Amino acid sequence: MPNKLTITLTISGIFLLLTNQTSAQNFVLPDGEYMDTTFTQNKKCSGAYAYFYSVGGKYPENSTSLLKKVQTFLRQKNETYVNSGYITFRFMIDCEGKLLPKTEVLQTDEKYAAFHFEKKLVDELYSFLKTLDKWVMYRSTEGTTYSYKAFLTFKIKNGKVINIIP
Amino acid sequence: MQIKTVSPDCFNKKVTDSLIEKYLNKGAEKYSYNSPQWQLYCDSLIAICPNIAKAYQLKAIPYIKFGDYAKAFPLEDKAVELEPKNYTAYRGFLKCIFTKDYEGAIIDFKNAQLLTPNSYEMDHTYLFYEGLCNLELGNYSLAEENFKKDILIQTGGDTAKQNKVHFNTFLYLGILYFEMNENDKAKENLQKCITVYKAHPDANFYLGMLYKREQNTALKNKYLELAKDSKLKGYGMNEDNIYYAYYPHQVTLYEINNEL
Repeated sequence: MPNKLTITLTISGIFLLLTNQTSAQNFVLPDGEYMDTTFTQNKKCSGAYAYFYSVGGKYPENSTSLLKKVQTFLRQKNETYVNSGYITFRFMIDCEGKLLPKTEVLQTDEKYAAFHFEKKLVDELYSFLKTLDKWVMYRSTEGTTYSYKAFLTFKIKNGKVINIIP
Repeated sequence: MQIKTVSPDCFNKKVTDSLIEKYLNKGAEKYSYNSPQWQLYCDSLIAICPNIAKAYQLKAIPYIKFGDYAKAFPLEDKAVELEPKNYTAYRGFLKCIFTKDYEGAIIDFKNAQLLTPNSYEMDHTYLFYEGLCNLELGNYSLAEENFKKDILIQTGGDTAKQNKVHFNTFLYLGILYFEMNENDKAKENLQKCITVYKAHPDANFYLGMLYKREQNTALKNKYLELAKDSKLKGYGMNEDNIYYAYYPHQVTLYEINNEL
């Protein structure tokens, strides 16, 4: 016959399993906070990389177009959020124009002080980022393709995305 | 034995100018701003004389250009605190173009206008940027006032000196009137822009959109094709910072193709 402690622990465990939220924590490393730390190397790419501004690497749709898309994406989730500020994802686009998994996340309030938004909002925006697949493939004048570092920032006002940078 | 250290006189302009020359002009600026040497030189100068605004401004550059606002803005704020006349408008510019913080930018530009009236930042008057901010915030009457004052400053009040007006002033006044549904004024200003810069893709795009509104398909397509052709040939808005951010109302090939 199980004792009282065993029964209590079992009931607590079942309760936790039923109520546990399944969003994973971010990875906090010495050099930053990450949504994903997976590092993959495309064998077709050399290790050399540039920054998006040196290679015409802004996403090839303007802020208004991207804003409409992210607002539509979030409306489907039907969630409401609060707080204002900026959520920035920084990542690498490889020499074939593919978004690599390793993604840093930076968050500030509207006065640019470090801040954390609700994890669910950050996760949703990260999911939206991963739907973007028209990143420019950079090719030098000599014909060599290169990877480049890029970022996308979501400006948030009272829980709603109101602008995209760059 | 006591070792005496001699601190430089950080309030002597000759001293600080020579430190700027050594640590910034011939130091940090010999490297890419993404290199560790850039930060080392800036930090070294700050350690020697923490009252040199330019050191903080340069230190912030890699952060502002790569989305790290928490690191960038304390440095920009320090530069403004130390030299408000030199850096208030610059911070306003960063807020307008880099972080789309239009309310914050307007505050900075209003202060800059008090500190150094009718001056310029990144090729444009403070009123130009205030106009951009008000345009994006939907404050159209205020934006109209701003762009008119912008023109007044550029021409010195002489209406015969329209050739002194930057083509992007005409572009944005045209876009503003487009948003206000004042088609004739929009056309007038966009045409002025194109008169100066025929291949301006954004001016051609918005002219196309005006003719779309008037259901004039032939002219709509004419200007949209011109916009597309310009983009494909590498023409752009001709602003120094378009590599880092999309300017307000700026279009890409995607938006042009969507309308064709």
